Amino acid sequence: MENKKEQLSLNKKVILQKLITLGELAASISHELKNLLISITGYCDLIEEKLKDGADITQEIQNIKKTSLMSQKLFMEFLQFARGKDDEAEKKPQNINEIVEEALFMVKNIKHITFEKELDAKISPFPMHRQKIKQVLLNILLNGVQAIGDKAGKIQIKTKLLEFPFGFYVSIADSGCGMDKETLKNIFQPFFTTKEKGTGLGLSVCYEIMSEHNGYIYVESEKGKGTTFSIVFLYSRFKPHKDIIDL
Amino acid sequence: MSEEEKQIKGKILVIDDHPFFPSTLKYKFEKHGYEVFSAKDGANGIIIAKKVIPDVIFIDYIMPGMDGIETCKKLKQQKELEKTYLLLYTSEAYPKIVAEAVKAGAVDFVTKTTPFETILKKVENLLGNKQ
Repeated sequence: MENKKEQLSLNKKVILQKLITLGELAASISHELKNLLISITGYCDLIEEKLKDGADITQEIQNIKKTSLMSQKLFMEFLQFARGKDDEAEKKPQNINEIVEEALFMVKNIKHITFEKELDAKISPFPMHRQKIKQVLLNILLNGVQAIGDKAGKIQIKTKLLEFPFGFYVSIADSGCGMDKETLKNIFQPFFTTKEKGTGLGLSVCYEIMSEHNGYIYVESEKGKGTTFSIVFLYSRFKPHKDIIDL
Repeated sequence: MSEEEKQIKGKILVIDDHPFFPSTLKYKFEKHGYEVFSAKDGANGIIIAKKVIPDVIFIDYIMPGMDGIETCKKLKQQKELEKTYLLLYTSEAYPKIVAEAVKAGAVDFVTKTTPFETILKKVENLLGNKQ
């Protein structure tokens, strides 16, 4: 009974945090869609001019098709995340690399940030709530994007199988502003935030989601040098020391 | 100097990781007698610029790796390019970005939706190539 109450409370927090994530994603995706539409309109103008000149327009048509498909995929991923069920009753075996790819797709078009990925294909499916884990990844990724700000930066995402204890981890390293020790100490506390308009729910919800998966979340950061978040999933109950993660 | 080279009104370099703006500017400027080069990022842009010594360089404000402002600052440091005009562009010209661009050494700012005729006029004014 007590467990059910806790579950309900977590689900409510997950939904609230998801709405915040959706808002942040909507801002970044609408900016990207605007750029894609500007390109499509521009290619159409160029086609008009080339047709008048009797020039070849094959390249422009291919570019329009490519840009339209990219816009469509971006929008579909966003809708899928927005409409995804948040109260999945049971965990189902999921491929973590697929979830990483889906989360990455929604943010990787942020032009001034270089996204690098290194995914370990040896990881076998793990029982999890797909939407919740995607939310954890998006939350960490968007935090990285915000930490980088307007300047050029890099986000590296990596998945790796662990042999002992048997499991795997996902690490997300950003080249952003980093955090001081005081911030690091409180980072997973509910309502703790350093953002002007933050709710302080994001990382505490990530922490709870990971606990619900018998997993762990670690953070390493240095002011001015960036931050690395790692989430660890274990096939057996055994709390790993954070040093097992090869950051 | 060949006859063809004599007719070139100026050399233009476009630095952008996305093909849309460079391909559009290439087609349109070439029709008006300019030679147009392109580079996919700031680092390559600097290498090409030092090689071809363009009269005008268009630089995208947002690029992965070295961003537009950084590229602009680095180009300004190249002695060979002291007579080259730098223009930054982005999808929207926010005053803060324009101010940043000018501070980094850009002489002007355009957006990706600025009509080509306006862009052409800016380049012609800079180079004194009025038709």
